[in-house]
Amino acid sequence: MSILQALASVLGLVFLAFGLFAFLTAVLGLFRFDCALNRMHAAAVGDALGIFCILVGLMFLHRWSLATVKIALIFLFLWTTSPVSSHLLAEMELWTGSRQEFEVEER
Amino acid sequence: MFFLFFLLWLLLSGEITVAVCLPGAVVAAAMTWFCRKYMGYDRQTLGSPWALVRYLGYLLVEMLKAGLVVMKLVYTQGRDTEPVLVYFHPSLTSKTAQVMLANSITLTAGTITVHMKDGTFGVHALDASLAEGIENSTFQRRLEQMEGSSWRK
Repeated sequence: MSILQALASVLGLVFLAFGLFAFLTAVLGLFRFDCALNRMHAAAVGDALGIFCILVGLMFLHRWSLATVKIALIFLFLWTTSPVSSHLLAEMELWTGSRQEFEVEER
Repeated sequence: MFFLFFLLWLLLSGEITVAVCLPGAVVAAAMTWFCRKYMGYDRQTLGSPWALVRYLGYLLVEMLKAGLVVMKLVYTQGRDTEPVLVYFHPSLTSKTAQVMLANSITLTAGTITVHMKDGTFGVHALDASLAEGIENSTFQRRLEQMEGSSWRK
């Protein structure tokens, strides 16, 4: 095993660990914030940072293979679909929930 | 469009042989036809491909930075954040640019686009500090530049 491969493995594991930490923070945030919209922000951390770090970590572990490209594809699709779904959820929450929890500004 | 579908097919099958390529070409052609006819696909793109790649790279960096900021907020502030909902009117004209701005805002943790209609954006931010300068962000300036140089593939 060459030094480069070892380096890739270590880097991959570091990214994986940080991604798990990001997801831990997201779950903790779900409990620490109060209203639904605030909780969605916590979930967005797992969505953005967590998934990105875990996928990059997996890419490093797989090195240069077809699986790497497929992981990049997963990231691409998640990138385009996740904001749409969270936007729809947030819009519904705004229509149906109470508006007491935040200030409204017009700019 | 056809080449993108074909490339996806090749990636998912993982080998290049005649037995793989022929059905792939047929399926890719069918999908292209379907998207043109029913999904309203049109060839208009925003800016040059290079500008788009640079924009996505910038978005990635912003996404990671915002993620770290929100992670810090989770640990330090908890329930003491001051959530705000900001309504503003970005000066983007095309639908594509508006959707890209809304998606970029949602992708950066800490801000969610909750309302987008007739050029009015409603953005919910976890803390007032995250909403500073949201009505004139770098995303918007970059998209405006790309809008100016739209081209047809």
